[in-house]
Amino acid sequence: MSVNEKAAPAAGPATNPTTATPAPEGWEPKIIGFACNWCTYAGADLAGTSRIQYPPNIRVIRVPCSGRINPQFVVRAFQRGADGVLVAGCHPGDCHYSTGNYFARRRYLLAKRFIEYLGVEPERLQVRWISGSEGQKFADTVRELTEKLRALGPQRRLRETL
Amino acid sequence: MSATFTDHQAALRDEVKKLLTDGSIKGFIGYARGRDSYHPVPAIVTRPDQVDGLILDQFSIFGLTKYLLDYIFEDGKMGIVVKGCDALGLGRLINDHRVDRNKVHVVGLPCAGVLNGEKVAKLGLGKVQRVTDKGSAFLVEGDKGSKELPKTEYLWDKCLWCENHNPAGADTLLGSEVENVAMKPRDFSDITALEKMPSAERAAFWTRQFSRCIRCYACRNVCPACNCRECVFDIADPRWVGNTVKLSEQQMFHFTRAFHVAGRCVDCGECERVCPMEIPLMKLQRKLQKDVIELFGNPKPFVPSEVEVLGQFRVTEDPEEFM
Repeated sequence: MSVNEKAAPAAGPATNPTTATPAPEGWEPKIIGFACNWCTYAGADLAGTSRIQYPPNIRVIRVPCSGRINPQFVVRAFQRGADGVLVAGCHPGDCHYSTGNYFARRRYLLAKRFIEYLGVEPERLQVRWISGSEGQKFADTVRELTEKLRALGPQRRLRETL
Repeated sequence: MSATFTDHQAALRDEVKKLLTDGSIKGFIGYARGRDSYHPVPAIVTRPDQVDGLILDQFSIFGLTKYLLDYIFEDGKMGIVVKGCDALGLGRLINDHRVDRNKVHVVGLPCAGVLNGEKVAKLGLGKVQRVTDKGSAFLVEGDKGSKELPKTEYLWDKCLWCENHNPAGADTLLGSEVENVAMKPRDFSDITALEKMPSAERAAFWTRQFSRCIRCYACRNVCPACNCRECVFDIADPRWVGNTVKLSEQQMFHFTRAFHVAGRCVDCGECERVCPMEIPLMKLQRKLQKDVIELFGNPKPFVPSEVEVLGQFRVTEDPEEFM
């Protein structure tokens, strides 16, 4: 153990922002959903026009392609108060730009494991392929994620601190 | 038993003197004596009369390749001395089109492992007179005593699983190639142990590490894979990527730095070595290496190739977890 290591604050509830504290009264999980314009966004739209109910906890951000979703966006969402993040795009083979989601798939296979490795609960980041005709799948995914997050409580491990 | 670095010192000086005198290089990046025998420092010589300041000894760990970026807009060739691990870093810079191979004269240094100067300095052997390779150990003779140091204990960690003892593609090779076998297999057991930790404990572990970061960017500056012309963390107004010193932004910095070199890291371990706060940065890089090996069936992601792991895909062979 180095000098620097000793100088660091010991892990403990008092100094550690990662310790679970009970959710405040009336807390609702906040989800940032990155949805690709061509499939998932259309899928979310279909859920709406088909009058399929899903929890209002998700805030959808439309992006051109799942290949556009920089993993830094995910970390940033967590920093700024998201309790969960959904990354969603076209099924492999269906990408509007032919290959964007294949790159995204490799990137998120690594990024998801890496974010977990840094100590974020695995349930908080969901990656899903949701096509334009899968309004029901979109609704189910959001509902499932909301329920998981409700059980987990607020996300504090990557949240912005002073 | 192979020649030590010191055995090549005279040959290196002769070579550099020749190259500088006949004008084939305008400068040479090598090592000079540091504060003691155990800490050589990088040095750049531009005149033949400076060449005698260049040294080579068994503590020459510093990867020098990143200095080449200082000369990419200038005419003329630079010379550089590289070990096997540094040659991978140079390969990284060349494959990333940041360094023109034709503008570099590479002097290769076959390497049987570099002694960890931090560890050896603590033994109190005084000024080092001679280092001899005894096969499984280095005999270090100092003016206050001498000791035989087992390689498995006194080499840098990366040297133990190194499979690149001889720098590939050097213009001049000092001495002859050494036996190219790893002393032990690459070992990810520390990474696996961290993975098995409950996620709250792991978060606490990384909080303890990242909260020490002083954002000196030494890890970025030394890394041959981290070679962007303009770094996102240097932009004056980076908008959503914060660059202040607070925990959440340390986390963002370390996530980003590690992930930007995912699948491109050459495993030289320099980031962790130069960190003044001793943050175990290779635990991030090696986690990514481990996953790349497991997920994409690339057994050696640390050897630079034309297209790196995240710049390619396989339609059917890549794992599918997001259905």
